[in-house]
Amino acid sequence: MSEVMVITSGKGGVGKTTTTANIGTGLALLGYSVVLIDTDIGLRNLDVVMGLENRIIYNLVDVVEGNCRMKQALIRDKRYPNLYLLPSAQTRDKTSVNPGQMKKLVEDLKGEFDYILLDCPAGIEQGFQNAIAGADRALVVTTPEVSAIRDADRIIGLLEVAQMRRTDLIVNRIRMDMVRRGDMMSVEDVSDILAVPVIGAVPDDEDVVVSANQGEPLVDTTSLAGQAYLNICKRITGETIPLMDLDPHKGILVRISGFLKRA
Amino acid sequence: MRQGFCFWGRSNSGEIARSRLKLLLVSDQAGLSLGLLDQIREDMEDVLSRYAEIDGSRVEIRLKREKEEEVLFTSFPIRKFTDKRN
Repeated sequence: MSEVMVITSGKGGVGKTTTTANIGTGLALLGYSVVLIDTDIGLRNLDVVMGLENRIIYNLVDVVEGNCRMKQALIRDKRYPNLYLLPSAQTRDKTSVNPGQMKKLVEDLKGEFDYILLDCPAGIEQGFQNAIAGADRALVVTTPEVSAIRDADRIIGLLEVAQMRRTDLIVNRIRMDMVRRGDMMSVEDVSDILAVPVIGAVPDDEDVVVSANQGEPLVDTTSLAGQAYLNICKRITGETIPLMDLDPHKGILVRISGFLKRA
Repeated sequence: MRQGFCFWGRSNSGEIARSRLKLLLVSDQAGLSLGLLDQIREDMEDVLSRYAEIDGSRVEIRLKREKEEEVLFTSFPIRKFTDKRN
């Protein structure tokens, strides 16, 4: 039986699509069958982050309107076993699909995949309602910044109203150097303020930009962000993994000179 | 006004963000805009100043979420009680 997860945030640009791509790829690498669904109609991005933009023929709206069969729209990612993408439409908008249709679409996919991941657009209107329609659980992505957290709080409230069975938090783009200086809220701070359990924290990592440039998800690579995403995947599948120490490895020389500066 | 940096190079903008957020989220959830909260404070000060001299600079008004409801806390330091009704 499939687990259906929506990745949402409220605020745009905090890392929903990157998170969807990496968690989906990570789960596939762990041996599960996964389908990623881009529900951001009109501003599709999951295809680009996954590096599958050249393979798109049909999309989500085509399936809903009956222009094609689901199998024709699903893109199999040849790099990873059992990983599929259902891309969104670029030339339509959010009103092209309604929550009822999304629910049915998700139902049709259940039983075919271990995990169904829905990449939600920013905002709280129909795009959001479409994305959460068929979901069993939500992953709320936020950065440790005032505006992102405020929007995440609103989303969490809406998820409660929608009776989402389970909601977990991912704190993205953490910079431990700023947290130590007192210039950034910590993962604990964010979790306390939002009162939602944290399923993972991902450090700000240049490799994320590089990975998007190349269309190659970075989960399970040696980058810190990649490791963090893999840990989130393992926690999703039920493993208990302590939160990573997010400090990048410092050489002894740097630590000593830091000490001398303060003396 | 920029917050100063202390000797150890620590700033407290993170702490400021935390306090701002706590108030923001409670008022967002209560559906009360912060500007209105300030208006409430002003009105309460006006009423109280009919009966007392208040130290206006130390008036505090806070909105806290307790269990399922919002509670408004106010604190008015009184210099002395006067009765201006006569």
